[in-house]
Amino acid sequence: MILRIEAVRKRYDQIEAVKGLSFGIAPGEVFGLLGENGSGKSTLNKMIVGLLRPDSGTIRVADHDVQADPEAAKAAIGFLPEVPFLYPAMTGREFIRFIAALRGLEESDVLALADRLFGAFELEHAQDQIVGSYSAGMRKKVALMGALAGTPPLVILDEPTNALDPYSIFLLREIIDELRQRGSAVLVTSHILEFIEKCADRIGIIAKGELLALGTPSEVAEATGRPGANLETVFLNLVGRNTEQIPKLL
Amino acid sequence: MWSRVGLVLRFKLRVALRTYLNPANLFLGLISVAGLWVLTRRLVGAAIESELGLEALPPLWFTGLWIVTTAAHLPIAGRLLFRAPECELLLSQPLAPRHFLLERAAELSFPHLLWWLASAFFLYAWIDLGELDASRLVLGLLAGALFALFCAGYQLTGGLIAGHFRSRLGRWLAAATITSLPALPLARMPDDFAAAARLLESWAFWPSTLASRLTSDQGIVGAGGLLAMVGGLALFSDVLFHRWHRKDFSRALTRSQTKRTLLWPTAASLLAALPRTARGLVLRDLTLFLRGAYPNAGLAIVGLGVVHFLFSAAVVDPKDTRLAMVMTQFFAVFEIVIVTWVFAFDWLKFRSEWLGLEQSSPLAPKAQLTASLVTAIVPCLVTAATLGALALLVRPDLGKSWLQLLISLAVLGVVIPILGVQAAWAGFRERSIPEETAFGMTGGFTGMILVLATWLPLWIGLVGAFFFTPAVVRQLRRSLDCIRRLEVTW
Repeated sequence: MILRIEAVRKRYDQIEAVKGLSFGIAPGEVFGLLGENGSGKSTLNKMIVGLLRPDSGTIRVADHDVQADPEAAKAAIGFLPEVPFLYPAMTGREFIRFIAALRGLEESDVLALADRLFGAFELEHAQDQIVGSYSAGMRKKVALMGALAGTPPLVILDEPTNALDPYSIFLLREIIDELRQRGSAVLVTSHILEFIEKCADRIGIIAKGELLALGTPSEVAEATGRPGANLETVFLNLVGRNTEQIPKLL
Repeated sequence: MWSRVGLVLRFKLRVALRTYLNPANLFLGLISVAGLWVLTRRLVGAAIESELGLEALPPLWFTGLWIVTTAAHLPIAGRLLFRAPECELLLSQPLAPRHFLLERAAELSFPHLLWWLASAFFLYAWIDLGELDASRLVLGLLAGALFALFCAGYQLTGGLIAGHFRSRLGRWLAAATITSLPALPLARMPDDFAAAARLLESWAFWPSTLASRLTSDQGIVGAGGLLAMVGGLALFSDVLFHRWHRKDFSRALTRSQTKRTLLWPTAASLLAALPRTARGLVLRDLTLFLRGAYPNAGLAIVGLGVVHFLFSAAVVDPKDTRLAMVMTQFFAVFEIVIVTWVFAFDWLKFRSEWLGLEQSSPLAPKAQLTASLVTAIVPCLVTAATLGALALLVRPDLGKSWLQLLISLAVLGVVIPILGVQAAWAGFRERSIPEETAFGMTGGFTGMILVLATWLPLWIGLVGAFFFTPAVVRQLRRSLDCIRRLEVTW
């Protein structure tokens, strides 16, 4: 397993955001983590990348404990946060160079990959403009390039489709496919269930910090008594949402 | 028209009241005001009864607190003028442009303040050359400035009174201030205040004093003042009434889309000797600094500050204990702090806002902390060294007391780690008004006043010892004496 999460708990004052989660992700696997707003997905992501400290439990990345050996663990992770950290006064290309320095990677390799991605996302014209002039989608793409720097063994994508146009989402799926083929694991969280359905090998559904279901999309559907149902139906059913008795809202 | 603007302003006032005027803040505010009143009496008393030296530092500290908080608003006002996050919200509402502009004018009243103060300075200089009683006119202008200040008052008072007073640093600084109070003499009311106010007048209008020294021609000063007022008004109306027009956003956007390919590679090749990660961090800071709006505004202040610092160091008599002279000396030191603050604060802010990027990278906490410390401290040291060298150039006979040296080292030992910790773990929000003006932050910066004020002789001594031979110093002194004699004849 490239990522192993064991009995992880996290509490914010009165709220227990993550309640003893345990699961793992194998190399070359794409894992979709689904949950409603406030279910604990982002908290979990932040604990994996070392932005938050779990109250209990362990998280191991590439056999390194995130708490005991954070540098080695983080060196194995590429992280795209939901709201990316980008410096408005830096150009997109400078940001990529900075990430290369921060991660101790060979700049020429990182830039070669970034050049291909700038080309694929049709951002060559903007790569030397400051990030302050970028649209939200452009920022997301540059942040994604930063997360892919060095092709790390584990890539965490937190709501990667936000602000992306349909073609970019298609490219993102292609990138995830390539990562899978290269043996990198991908942990992706998204509210776009169709996207997860198309690209994830396994999914985990969490609600209020607890893991409700784990397995391939068809396994999860079968386990919830709705074999063959689409992911949206399975998900809403699992988190206890009744979609049939909603009154007129407007 | 007024009802629409009134609605917007009423709403904003409500938000401000909700933000700042909760019972806890009110209580702290009352304590703060009472404390500041006592502090004022003590410090004014100390300033009048003591000689210039270490004893004068508390008044400098107190004045520094107020001036730093006021000065902190100037770059903020500039930023809000163009980039306030709420502008997009307001512009997207069915609000007529004139309503929007009126709202902005009220919200961003600090440009008023700048304009009024500039006008007051020049008018004072003009009248000072004649024999008119300028006090009423000047007071009127100042009242206008204060009114402008009051319009945005909730920003100032909110940050100043409530703000970070509840923070740990704020509490420690407050405790230190309160425990040091009994050591100071109490001002005699109201005579000392009247004396202080009279003396303060000449300090407060320092630029106009300089203007009248530069030229004794009332016509030139008057014309200059008039020009400054017209220019200020034109600038003000241009900024508020034209640049907000939507078509100017497209111009700004075009500027931001300029290709920038020179800075990073050039700096990277110059710093090639550094390790890869360290080089990346330095390049990041350098890029953000050189392209940031704050540092550019700061550089203008720095230019003015250095000129004033040199002027003050050259002409003020250290034995003159009048409050005006103390204030002038203070102002010179204050500018050192402003210089440091403008640089250091920005860098602290840059680091804190995007700390997540570093925290999620494979960078050891020790390396992050070291980078933060270096980023925070290097500008302070470079600034102090540069100004120390400049002070030596204009005033080689400044004191080199061992007591000052020891105290300065002790204070330095306390404040630098605080700065470092702030740099590493500060948690500023996007809208930074309360943080920049709050007690904790302001206290930190006024702590720097203490450091730098006491530290200056040490720097002068060190820089003098290392970089100037006695012969050079003697030659410089002779040259400067000539300049000073020339200045006196003005």
